[in-house]
Amino acid sequence: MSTKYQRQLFLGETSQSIIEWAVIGVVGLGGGGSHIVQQTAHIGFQNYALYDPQTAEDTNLNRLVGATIRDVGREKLKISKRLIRGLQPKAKISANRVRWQEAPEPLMVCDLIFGCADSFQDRDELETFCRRHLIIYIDIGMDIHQVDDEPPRMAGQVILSAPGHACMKCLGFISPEKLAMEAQKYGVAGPRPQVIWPNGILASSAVGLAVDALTGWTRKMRASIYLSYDGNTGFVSEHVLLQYAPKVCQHYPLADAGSPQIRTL
Amino acid sequence: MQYLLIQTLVLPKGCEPPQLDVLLCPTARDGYPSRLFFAQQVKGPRPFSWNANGVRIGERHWHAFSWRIGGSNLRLAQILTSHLSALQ
Amino acid sequence: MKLTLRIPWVVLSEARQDLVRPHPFAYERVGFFRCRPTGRPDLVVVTGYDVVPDDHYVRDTMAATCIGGDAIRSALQRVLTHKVGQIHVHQHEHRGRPGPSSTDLEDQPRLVKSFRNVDSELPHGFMILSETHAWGSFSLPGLRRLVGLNSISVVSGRVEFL
Repeated sequence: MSTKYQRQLFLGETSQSIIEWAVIGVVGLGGGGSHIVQQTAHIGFQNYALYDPQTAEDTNLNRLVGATIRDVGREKLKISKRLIRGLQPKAKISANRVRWQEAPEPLMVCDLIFGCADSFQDRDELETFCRRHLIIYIDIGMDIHQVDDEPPRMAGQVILSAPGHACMKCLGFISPEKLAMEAQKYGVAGPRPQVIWPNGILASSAVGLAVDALTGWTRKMRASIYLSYDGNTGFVSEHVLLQYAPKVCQHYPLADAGSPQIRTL
Repeated sequence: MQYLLIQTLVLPKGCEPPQLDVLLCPTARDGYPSRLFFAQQVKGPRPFSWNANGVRIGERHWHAFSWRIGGSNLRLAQILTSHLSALQ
Repeated sequence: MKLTLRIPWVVLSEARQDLVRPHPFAYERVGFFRCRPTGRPDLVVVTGYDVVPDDHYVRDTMAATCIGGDAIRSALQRVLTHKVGQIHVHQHEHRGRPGPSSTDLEDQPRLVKSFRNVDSELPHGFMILSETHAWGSFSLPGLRRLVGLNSISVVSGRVEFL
């Protein structure tokens, strides 16, 4: 066996072959997604479905992992592919320079999908897709708010949403009110403040959860995980709402998995 | 969850386009008791809050605006007409 | 083409608990997974499990286990009423890859064909579980021949591969 992964054998005898067999999806290759791509490539993942229609701009360089100043104007997909291939030259990469909704077939065969989306709407759709296809979904995101003269408040989340178990709606992270408010602000949002280190913390936590979900190395994997990041103190802790989450999902019954039933009138 | 596809439904007068495919979800979805999806955004008598855009259902993409209907134990036709009343 | 099957851990667990229960006269129990197609022909998701009631088995000197017309009619009705595919399943009590008997290979395709006759737009099949692996053969929409199983993912907060 290659010595490359000697230091991670504690994950279990079969862990490396599971990691190499698994197919992971990363939707969004910006600040959060680029960290995830980097870490999963280091760990040894071989099969990827990547989605991002955007090109790198100079305003991304403060946080786009893998990007250099020569990458301004280059597709984020190409930057991620280069990063993966530098570590895993034989990796199979389905690279999709479109919104995932326009070409979802490669995502369907993923064992696990990371969502690094900007909006509640995108997250909601991606989670719905994952529930239909019985795929574990791991969502990350961060935000920075400023109110009056107070110091900016930095916050983020990592949520693992597993089929049958509490979803982001059950956890209160997504709600019809938030979706409606977001819809009303559509087009007015403007560029959001972003920096690299909270993305790193959130992405690292997400990758750790993913490896545990696939290898079971902690033997304590929970089915619903909602981690809350306080960027002002640096603490990552279990979100208080998790204790109120139902054990069984109220919004996505397992019986509804699979293609929706559409009857034509 | 089941959906009802109605092809080339003729919309109320004054709508643009005048007819298109719609997809009715008669059960709870997205926090609404029922939802009507359109094959494209529709221009009607008033501005709508399109809060579902390009949502993939089945093999197609659909759009829906925020519209909550009332009533309980409604028949499918009643659900549909209640949704379409937003376009009148 | 080979099939990837995804099954929720809670459904598999329900099936395993049912399939190990002793029956008054049948050597093995059988059950039916409900399944649904996805947007890919080579991916099917399991959405539930249905127990075959004790009185739906019939005595048969030629086979270890035999289910009667009521069991089959119930399965056919589920296809029609709930628009779900049916996967006949039973379990072998050993580790390692299970395999079909000659009776399985003779009888099960006929059962699968009868499900397909009710709704050919749904996947149907038959499966054998062991403690660690699985074997299966499936009828998929649009394909004439049965296809084998590529992998099974058992999904909860973890993903396990059978």
